[in-house]
Amino acid sequence: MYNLVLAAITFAGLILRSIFPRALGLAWATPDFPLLLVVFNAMFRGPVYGAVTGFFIGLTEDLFFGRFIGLNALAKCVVGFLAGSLAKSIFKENIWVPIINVFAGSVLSLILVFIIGHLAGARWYLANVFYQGLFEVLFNVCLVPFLYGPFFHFADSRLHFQEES
Amino acid sequence: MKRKGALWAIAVTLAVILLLYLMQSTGWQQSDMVGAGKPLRELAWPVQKAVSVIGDGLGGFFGYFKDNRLLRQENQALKESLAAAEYWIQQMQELQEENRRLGALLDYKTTHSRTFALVTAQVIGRDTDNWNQTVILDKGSASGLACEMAVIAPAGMVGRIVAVTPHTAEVLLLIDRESAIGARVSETRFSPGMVSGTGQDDLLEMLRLDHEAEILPGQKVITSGYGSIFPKGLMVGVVEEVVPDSNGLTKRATVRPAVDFRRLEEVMIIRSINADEEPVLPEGQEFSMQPEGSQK
Repeated sequence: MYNLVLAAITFAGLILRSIFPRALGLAWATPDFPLLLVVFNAMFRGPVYGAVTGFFIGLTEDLFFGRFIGLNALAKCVVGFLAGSLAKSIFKENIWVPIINVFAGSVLSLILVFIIGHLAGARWYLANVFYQGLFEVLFNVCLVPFLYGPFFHFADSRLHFQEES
Repeated sequence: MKRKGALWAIAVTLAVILLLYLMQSTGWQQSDMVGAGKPLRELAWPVQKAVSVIGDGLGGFFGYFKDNRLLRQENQALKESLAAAEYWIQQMQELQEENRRLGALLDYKTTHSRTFALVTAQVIGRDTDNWNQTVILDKGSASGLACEMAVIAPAGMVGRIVAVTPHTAEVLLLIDRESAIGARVSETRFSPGMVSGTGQDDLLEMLRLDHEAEILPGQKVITSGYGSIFPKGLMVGVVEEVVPDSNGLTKRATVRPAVDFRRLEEVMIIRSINADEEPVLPEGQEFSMQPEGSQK
């Protein structure tokens, strides 16, 4: 059930990401909803689950946009792993934990996407990536206070229920 | 344990290499999306569309307030611009109309310069009461004007000066009840007597005409030259209607004045008559009931 909800949220996040630029009309930068999900999920489930979930969420994203399949899968896999590793022993109720995690994850994701993309033959300009990336990181961090609470309650109740059963 | 770790490392490395290969083969070098992407995007399409429509609606709603403010500013600026343009158009039309009138006056003055010594003046005021039909001109005794001088327009007779100051002159219009002028029918040279005003802007009358008098509607009425004020041959108007009086012995005729007294703006004053020559309408000019000057 938990994974099904994650898939649904991922799909909704991708749709939101695809319509966000037109709705906002700002710098063509969009919040990376799937990344938020990867980080939040990794914080609750640890590095291995975080990496696996990150991989599949990233892969769904790649398939959705249909280009450079595997790029986001790889980047989000790494982010999920690291976010899960960092948050393993940290007090998750503190709002600054997800904020810092999302900030670090967003920056790392951008760097990885840029480097791996170049390895795969993408020709992106560093200035563009930096400019758009700045907005993206900002968006992601700003959304944390609004999205982390609901996710916390959802994940806490579901995982607790799974553990009990 | 070490073996398991090594296997993991190999698996991850292989996965990364595979993914890199996949990325390369699905980059922008490919002319279309990869197969798996299409059904996924097709699945998302209705949702995307719906969310987009809602987003547009919300954007339109909030944009309304912003647009409304901008539109009001733009509207105000356009109104001001339009008002300025209308003002200039009106000014241009005024100048065009004035130019046309002055052109007609100049033509008349040039044509009749041998017959009359003319002074051009502008109407600057009009008697506003209901008793007298007079206008005030912007020239007076300083310009050589004096009482009892005839005032004309290119279309015909206007009236006579009844009072002067150094810089103004008052003209009793032909349409005033106190005004009377010796007239004759141009076509028949019949001189029935006097044409007088009725107090109305657009009507003169000829009273106590002989029952047998040769006068018919449509005939032109010109000044007869009897008396010392008005030279003969100036256009007065056109006979509109001839009606027998109740006594059965005489009849009366109403005459439509040649000059449109409601649109009187520039006139000429005959300061002196140079020759005993009957002025005639300019060649080819037909009388019409249009405002003065417009028949040019």
